[in-house]
Amino acid sequence: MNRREFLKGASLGLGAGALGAMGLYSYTPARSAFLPDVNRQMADFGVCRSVKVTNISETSWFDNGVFMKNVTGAGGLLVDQYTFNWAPFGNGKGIGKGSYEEGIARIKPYIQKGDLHGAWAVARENSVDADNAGGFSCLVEVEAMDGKVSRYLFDCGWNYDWMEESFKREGIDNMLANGEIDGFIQTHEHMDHYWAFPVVAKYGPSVHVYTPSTFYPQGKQYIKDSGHTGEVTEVKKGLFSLQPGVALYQFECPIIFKVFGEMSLYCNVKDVGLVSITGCCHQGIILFADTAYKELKYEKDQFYGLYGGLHISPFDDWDPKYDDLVIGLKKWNLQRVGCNHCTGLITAQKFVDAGYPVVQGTARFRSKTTNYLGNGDIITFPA
Amino acid sequence: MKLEHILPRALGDSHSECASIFTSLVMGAHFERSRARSLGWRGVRPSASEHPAWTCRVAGSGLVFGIRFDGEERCVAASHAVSPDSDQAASAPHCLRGYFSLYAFPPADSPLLDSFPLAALQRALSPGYEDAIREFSGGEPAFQAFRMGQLRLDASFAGDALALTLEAPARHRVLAADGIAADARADAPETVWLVAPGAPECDVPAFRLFMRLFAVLAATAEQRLDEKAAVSRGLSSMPRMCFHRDGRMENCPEEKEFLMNCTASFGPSLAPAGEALTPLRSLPARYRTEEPERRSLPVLHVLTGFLGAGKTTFLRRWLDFLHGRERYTGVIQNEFGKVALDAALMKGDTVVEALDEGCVCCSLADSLRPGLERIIAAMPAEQFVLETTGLANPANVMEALNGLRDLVAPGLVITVADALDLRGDTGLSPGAPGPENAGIRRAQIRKADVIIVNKSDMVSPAELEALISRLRALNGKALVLPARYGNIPFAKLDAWLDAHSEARLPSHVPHILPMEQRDVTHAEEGYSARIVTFEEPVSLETLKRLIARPGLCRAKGIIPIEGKGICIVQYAAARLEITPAPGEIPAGLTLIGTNPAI
Repeated sequence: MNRREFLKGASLGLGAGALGAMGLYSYTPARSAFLPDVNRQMADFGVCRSVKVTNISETSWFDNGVFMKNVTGAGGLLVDQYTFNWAPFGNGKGIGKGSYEEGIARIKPYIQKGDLHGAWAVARENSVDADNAGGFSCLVEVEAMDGKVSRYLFDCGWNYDWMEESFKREGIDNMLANGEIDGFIQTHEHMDHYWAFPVVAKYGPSVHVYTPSTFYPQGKQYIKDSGHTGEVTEVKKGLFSLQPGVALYQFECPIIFKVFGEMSLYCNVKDVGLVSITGCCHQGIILFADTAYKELKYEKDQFYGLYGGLHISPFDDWDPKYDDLVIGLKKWNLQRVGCNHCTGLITAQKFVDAGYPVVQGTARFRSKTTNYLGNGDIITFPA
Repeated sequence: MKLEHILPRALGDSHSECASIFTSLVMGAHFERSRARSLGWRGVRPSASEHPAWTCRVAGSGLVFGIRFDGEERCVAASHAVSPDSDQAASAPHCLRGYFSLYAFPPADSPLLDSFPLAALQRALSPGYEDAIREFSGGEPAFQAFRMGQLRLDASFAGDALALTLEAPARHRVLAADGIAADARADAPETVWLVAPGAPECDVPAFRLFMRLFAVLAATAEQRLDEKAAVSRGLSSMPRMCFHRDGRMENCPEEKEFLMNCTASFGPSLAPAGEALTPLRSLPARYRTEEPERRSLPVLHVLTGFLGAGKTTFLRRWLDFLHGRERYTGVIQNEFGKVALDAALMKGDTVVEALDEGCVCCSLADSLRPGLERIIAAMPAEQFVLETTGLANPANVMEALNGLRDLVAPGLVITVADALDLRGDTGLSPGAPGPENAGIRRAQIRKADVIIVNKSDMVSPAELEALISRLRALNGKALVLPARYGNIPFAKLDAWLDAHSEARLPSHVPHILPMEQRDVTHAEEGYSARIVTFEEPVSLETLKRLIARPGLCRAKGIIPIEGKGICIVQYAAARLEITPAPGEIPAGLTLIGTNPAI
């Protein structure tokens, strides 16, 4: 008898019988039988009372066309970012022919004097499209259960001039100088998140720096060359607790422009749920959300809020109908979203159209749409 | 061989180091889509539930593969243990061995499934199968029946050796000693057997199913390590399993199951002791792209659609999709009329090359080459989109493109159709042709590989359905996708292009016309354009009067409007849209229509 026809038709009564028992065996090569099983770990990393994020800058570059010309002109997405001849590591030799060593040699004297405007001016002479550079950076303020507020600076942007101006606009320069920043979190080594590090070091040379453990030698050297004197913690893959209710998670993944590893920040807000803050989410929002579900214990089992740039996935989905961020995020039932940066202007619009709880911004300071939580805008969790 | 080219750090003791290597290997191959595809990848989805896991497709196989990391152990390779000049204790672990379960999920309608375990077939025929596969690692017991093989990943702590091994039965066959009856009355004299006593309950050529996946993985490692793999194969046997009615499983003494393995290794061998291997000259089942020369040229898609159908809206959304995935795409825009409004709207989105004051399908055919050359030089991207005027006949554009095969490879012809414009009179009798069946509109529909039925929310479901069936009657080969604000599942465009990489797309089928007849052009239909500029803010009434003129079918521009300031004005298919645009510079109003007085 044709098994397919049979199962299509009369299968239900058979489930508990011979067929049911039959389904239990499987191909089990002897060698792997002893391996320990891995279960949902649900690490308990404590709780905090609330989280506030101030967007210092989400405009990584101002003109996408110019940026794409740079990338394709230098040879594409596999090219090492330090060789693009992007500011501040320009050597005057043109697109795709730069190096960290030659670039930093030209600007280091200015950095050492604290003259970052002068450093950028030199870089502009020797680099491609320096004025297109902006940066990604935000301030995360966490209120602990006892009411004490901790401040984390999350990435530092790209363009010295733009970031110094943006830091001043939000008072970050003074916070750094007064020791009010408890930690500086460098999510990943990309230029638009990291290369304005001298601005951080200028105002807060002793701030505690956290980076993924997989920075390349140039990236590690840049911390020193920027005049930083404080502690540096290299975060290995997986969870790294900062304080009760606040943890970093380092995702090991190769990223375009020869970068490796990205950290995201998870906050567990009491009686509210999990709040996640991302730089670019190069590991992909799908893996990012799944990982939180699998590995973390959080309030009400509710993935409550999200802030930052949202890459859906580093891969094409094998099923084209799922290759959509709006669909990809649906199952998490998010309550509060502030998106910007690499999310995509129209993806943000689609979130709004689909009825997502997107917190609107004010489209000031060169941010392009109110669907983005733009430069100078603030989002709080809970509302 | 340097493992740091895949994972730029020393191996540690996380118990998931091999999962990290695997993730990095696969992710690193996907920075550039064309590179991933030329290795044979056809989509990957990570699935982190419980264990690190992935589902994927590869070229040349209709299956969805599931890969699940099971765990890893420290070990000593045979070659290392016997090394006489080693100072280390022979038993000191010098490599990590990770195990991954391999699952094969055929489509529910595949005949292959009929040879899978009954439990697999039953699951595949149940509702929600294809969606559930995506979370196969979540622990659903029925999915165990799809587990058919294993991948082993060996990596040395010194970072100088890596090996990938596929192991699976040549034929995965389990015998049902007592048979499986089709109904509960198994002892009735007229028993109908699903599986006769002693016959195999399943009989799957497991090793062969996974070979394409393995070849893609090995080729990916070759590319990342910039080194050719040493390939070998081996064979071992284990007793075949036999299943009894009471649930007992036992070895079947007479029969053997042959376990085949294939290893791609880099650096010193990490093979376990006792594995007899035969070297192979090359990787079996390696994927080769059919048209390598095609890949070296950028792809040019052609976007058409009648005046005001929503081409630019669609394009901006498509670019958002592409650029969010780092698939940089340049745009060549051609507008009927002097003012490059569309280019102004796309400012900052991408690199735009504007070909103005004329139409690529006729007067501008000669300027297309220098335009393409300019944009390719400015941005050597992998694909470009030519957005034609609303009046362009794609048949004529395709003819012009034939002369540009040295610069670009032909992509899709995408036509944005305006549901409002094409729904026709409400009294249209069923089956009667609508406005789509004449002139430029007809030419645009007929030549399309993909038809986007835009503004589908502005007509009733019945009207939409009728329109879609009329469009299908005009062009049965195109993919038809209804859209609102130009939104479609954009990945479907890639899938459509892939599915037709060998078969010809409708747009590439030579268009044979009866003698003495040329393809219709808009000049013959009497379209012309005129630009009106306004020094003073214009009142809404004046604007409405202007666009109400007979013969006018499209108006667009950036003009000052009384009480609203600078606005973007869009008019098409009897619908007027005014959007305040405070930052824009007034650029006049372009009117397009068939009335010479316009």
